[in-house]
Amino acid sequence: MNYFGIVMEFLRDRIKFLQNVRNGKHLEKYIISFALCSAFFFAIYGGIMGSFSGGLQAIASAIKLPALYLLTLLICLPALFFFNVVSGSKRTFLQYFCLLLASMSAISVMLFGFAPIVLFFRLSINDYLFFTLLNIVVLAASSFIGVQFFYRSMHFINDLQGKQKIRSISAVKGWLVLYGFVGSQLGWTLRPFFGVPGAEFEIFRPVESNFYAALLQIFGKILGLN
Amino acid sequence: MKEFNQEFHELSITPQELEEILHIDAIANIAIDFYRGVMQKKGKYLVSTLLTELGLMAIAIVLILPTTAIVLQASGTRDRHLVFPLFTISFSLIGLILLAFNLYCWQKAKQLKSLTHLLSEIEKYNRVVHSVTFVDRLNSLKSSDSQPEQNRLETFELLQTIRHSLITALNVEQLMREQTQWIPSRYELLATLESDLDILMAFTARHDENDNSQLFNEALQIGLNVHKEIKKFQRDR
Repeated sequence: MNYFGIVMEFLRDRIKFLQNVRNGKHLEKYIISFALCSAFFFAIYGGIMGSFSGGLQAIASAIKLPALYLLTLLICLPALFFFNVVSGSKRTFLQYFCLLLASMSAISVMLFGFAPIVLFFRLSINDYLFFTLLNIVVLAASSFIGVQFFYRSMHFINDLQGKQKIRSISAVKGWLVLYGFVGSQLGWTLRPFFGVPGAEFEIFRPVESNFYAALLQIFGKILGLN
Repeated sequence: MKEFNQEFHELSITPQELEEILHIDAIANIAIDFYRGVMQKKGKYLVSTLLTELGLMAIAIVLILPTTAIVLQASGTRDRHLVFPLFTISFSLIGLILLAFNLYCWQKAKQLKSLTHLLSEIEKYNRVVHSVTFVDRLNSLKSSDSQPEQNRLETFELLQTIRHSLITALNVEQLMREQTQWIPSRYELLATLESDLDILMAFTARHDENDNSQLFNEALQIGLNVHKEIKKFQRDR
């Protein structure tokens, strides 16, 4: 099977893809292709992200970045499915899985597109903070596009009417918040992605509190509160 | 002339057409590639199977390695002592997944053996159609020494019959694979195949040597192989 061809076909003709998902056609084909291609593209970008701190960190990040996106998807997928079933949707588990993987593919393709730019800055500027910030911007922009695609797709395949439809859309919005929550905590657990130049390689940092507590701590430091 | 050439070209069996007839899922497609690559030793499909296996291994690594590491870390294993159990557990699990996948593909490929042979015949048939179209186009350029109309008509009829045989054989194979008991449409399809075989035999008897002899014989062979395959499949059931 031509996995990359299927992903390109999806990117070029999204309406046809969404119609196929709505009719439950070729779901397995899409799922296998999206999973393989997104893992590959995320791994390439992850490798570039980790390259600032040496070879071992590059390999670790090439595994961690696809893991972050795909594990978050697997953790949150049952919640998405049951939220929608409770709202009255007749769509199947595979249809939701396919849509989510399609969004992941869109994110991974965007990242793959940005990879040469990030690699260029990695090789031409030896500034760790700038490199970290650049990656955060690229990751945020790509993820935003992917989430937007997912939200629109959910509208497209929605089989409900009236109040049920409103409830279902609210469920999707709530689920997206949950998805962000799980994703950021998993990212926190899987860190480091960039490593620290010159420091010894570590697979994981010790688990300390959570992403949001750390974020509050940083703000506290900036504001001189602790 | 151009119109006739176009008609020749339209005799090929397209992937879209196959998709509509077969209704096979992605896993079956992988199993077919597996059979053609591993059993029939066809390079293109072997590469495709290896890429699928590599992809599956990559996904297994990406999902299992970090998950195992998180679980080990949560159970109190620290960085330096993490490496050995992490790799032992993860790669054992990955090995098991790959083994299970290969066994599943093997089983599925055995069920789809006849379909795989028919698909190989379709590939050969499409190659013949392509060559005939090419030869026809060449002949249309040399006006003085062009192929007699009778020959071209005969070639066209032969390819049309083989095309019909191939599509009927695919339908028969699908019916026999999906249904265990005899159903009327299956009898009808088999009768159609028999009548196609009679036409093919008539072609063999009256065929004269001409420019397209080799292609003609190749096409006849495909037609006969299809019948042999269906007979074999019927016996095996």
